[in-house]
Amino acid sequence: MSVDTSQLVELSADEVVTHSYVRDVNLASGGVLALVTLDNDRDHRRPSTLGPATLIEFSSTMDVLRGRAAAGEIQAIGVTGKPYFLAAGADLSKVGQIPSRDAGKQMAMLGHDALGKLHDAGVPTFVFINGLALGGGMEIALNADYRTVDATAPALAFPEVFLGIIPGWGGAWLLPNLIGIENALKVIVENPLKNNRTLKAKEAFDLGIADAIFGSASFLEESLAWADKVVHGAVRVTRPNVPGKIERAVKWDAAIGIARKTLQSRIGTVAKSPYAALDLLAGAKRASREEGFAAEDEALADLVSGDQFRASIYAFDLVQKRAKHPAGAPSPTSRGRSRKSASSAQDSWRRSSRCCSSASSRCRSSSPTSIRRASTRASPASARPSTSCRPRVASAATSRTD
Amino acid sequence: MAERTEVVFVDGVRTPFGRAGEKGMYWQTRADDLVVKAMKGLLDRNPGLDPAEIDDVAIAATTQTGDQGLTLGRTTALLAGLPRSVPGYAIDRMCAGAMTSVTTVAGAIAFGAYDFALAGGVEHMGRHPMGFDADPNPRFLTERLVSAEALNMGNTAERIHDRFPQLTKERSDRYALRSQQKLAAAYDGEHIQPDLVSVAVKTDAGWGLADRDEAPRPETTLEGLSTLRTPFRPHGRVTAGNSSGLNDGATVSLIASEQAAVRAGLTPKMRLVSFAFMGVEPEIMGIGPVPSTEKALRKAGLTIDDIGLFELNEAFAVQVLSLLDHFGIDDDDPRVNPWGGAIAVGHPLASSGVRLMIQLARQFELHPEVRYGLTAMCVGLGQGGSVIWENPHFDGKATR
Repeated sequence: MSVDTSQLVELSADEVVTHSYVRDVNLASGGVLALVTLDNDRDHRRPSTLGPATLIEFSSTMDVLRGRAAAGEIQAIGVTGKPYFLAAGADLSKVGQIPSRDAGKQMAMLGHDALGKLHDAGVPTFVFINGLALGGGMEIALNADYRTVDATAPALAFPEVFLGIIPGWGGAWLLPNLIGIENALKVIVENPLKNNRTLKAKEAFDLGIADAIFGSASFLEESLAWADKVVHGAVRVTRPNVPGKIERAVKWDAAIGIARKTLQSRIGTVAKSPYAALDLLAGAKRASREEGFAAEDEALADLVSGDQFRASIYAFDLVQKRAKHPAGAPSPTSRGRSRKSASSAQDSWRRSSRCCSSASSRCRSSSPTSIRRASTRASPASARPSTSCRPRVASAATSRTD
Repeated sequence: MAERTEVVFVDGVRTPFGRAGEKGMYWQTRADDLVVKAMKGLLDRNPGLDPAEIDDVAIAATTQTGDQGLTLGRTTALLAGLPRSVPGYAIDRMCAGAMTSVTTVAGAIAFGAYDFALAGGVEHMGRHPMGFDADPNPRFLTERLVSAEALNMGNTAERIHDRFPQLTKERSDRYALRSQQKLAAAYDGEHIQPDLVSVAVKTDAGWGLADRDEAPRPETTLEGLSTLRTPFRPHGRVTAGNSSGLNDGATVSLIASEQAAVRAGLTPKMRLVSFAFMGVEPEIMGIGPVPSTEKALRKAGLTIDDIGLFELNEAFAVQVLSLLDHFGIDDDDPRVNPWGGAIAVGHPLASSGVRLMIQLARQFELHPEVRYGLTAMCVGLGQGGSVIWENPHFDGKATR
């Protein structure tokens, strides 16, 4: 591990680790793809999240695979998730506890280091977005060379700005350089501020976030067959939305300028994260990958250890966690849940509260832009345990497996 | 008035067959999903077929509960993304399920009711052991209609050994060994792989891809076979080595009227000549294919000498040998199961019938000198099923 993680180790003591399982898959036209499955070994009620221990395991897994690639043992690397989820992003319970700016920076650098190993791996790398991908989940995909997406993936999004931080594991630099500045502004700044709007799979594909889209009936099989064709040159990937010279020279700064003015008129200038995101997106025009990632490290370190993010997570917990699971209420285990998942009331409360997928809900009250209002008077929406605040994604997953 | 037509086997595919049970590759994969993968694989490689033109979907399973319940033909068609206008149903004739799917839709096509139909079968024996949860009528026992032993397929195979003393354990073992060797050679010759549809499989160690059969044991030796225990009877003759195993897998085929297939630009691989099912004593269900084959030959106006290729389901080696002996065919006859059989590849009950057809179709292509081929199998509770096919590649120069 090339990154200092000393301050994160304590945080990850009780982390629900998302493991990186590896199995080799034979490609039809010869060669081997090492397929990494991200799986926290829990059922669909606990989406895979990315905490420090998860990233460290992913990083060392990638080290092994890069070694095998160099030795000529494998011809491609693929990453996918457990059923219904690629990854629901950073483990909010961990990110919310980051004690200092130093620890925040370590978290940012750890993410960059781990996910960045999907870049320049020596063989083509693929991420098969088989389901929900939020924040860090999206950044796993963006760090790879190629992406496919399941047409039924319920949500793809960067909820960071909604929570008071920025996409800090490569997203703020990679996305505009993949899909253009205007699209990136929409996904990273505009959508989170529109009640945390998310993208459907088809929208993500149309924006150029994914290179191919397949139905869910045989998503992984078709993705592997497609990857085979890319590896062997039978398919050439074209990306019409990658910004060209003109876009960089003319459109880029203008788009940032318009976005900044719009932001100022709509939400004022107190909330920091949208402006930090704007600065990163503006810098992504010229910055190299390394410079872009370094800028993200600094910005994330500032925000994740700051007051606004703390307040945002507090508000988020109030309207998500407390509304769904009031403190002291009887455990849902008494309603006949399966043995496997049933445990103590406290355990189940903690498990569900850590789930970052709630960030995908269109909850109206805990946006960082409304932190000020929420702190001075109880917002009506936040006081009501509203059904509209239920995590849409989790409930969709439930109904699919019923 | 509907037009009577010839019936053709246009194409067929299958999933790789897995070993049943917790260690098998499909333990965490649903049975209906296996059918869906095969169905999609079949449609993908026949783009000329407009899915909306499929008149029916018949999918067989022996134990139609859980993920094999709920009218498989309809559920899998919906799950595979076929238009909602395409109907479907489920079929059960135990081991001959997929074969019965084919003959049933063939009847509808011949009558002129259908142009295209999908026919196949599935068995996830890991999740649904044979006869699990079945409730046989007590009259079977009280009135001695069927001996209790006949419900255990291994016992019925032992009884064939009893009835035909010339069918020795040595012959069974030797036949089983050849089956393993022939399948291994067929894999080396790339004869099996083209008709397999890979299946992504979830395991505790992450996603993997099933792209070949799990059951074959090419390292089998005669010595090894002779030392296996005989689980059905002390000093018996039936072992795990000379029987098919417990397996998971699915098959799907496209059956059509000849005119409709040609109109859609599809090239039929086999033409249906005749088929027959017959009942026999349940206690020796393995000889079922003998009378059913005789009947199918009679209906076709053919004799056994007209058959140039045999695809016989190897539920038990002794059961295949009983058919070969009856018709005076040598144990090592090259026309019989040239690529091995269920002893090596596995026998996911209700899916196997279409596997026989898939392999016969490919052999027809390689053997234009052969005009007729037979697919046949035995069925639990004493039945046999036989289907005779004609080779569209036949060049007319045959001696047979």
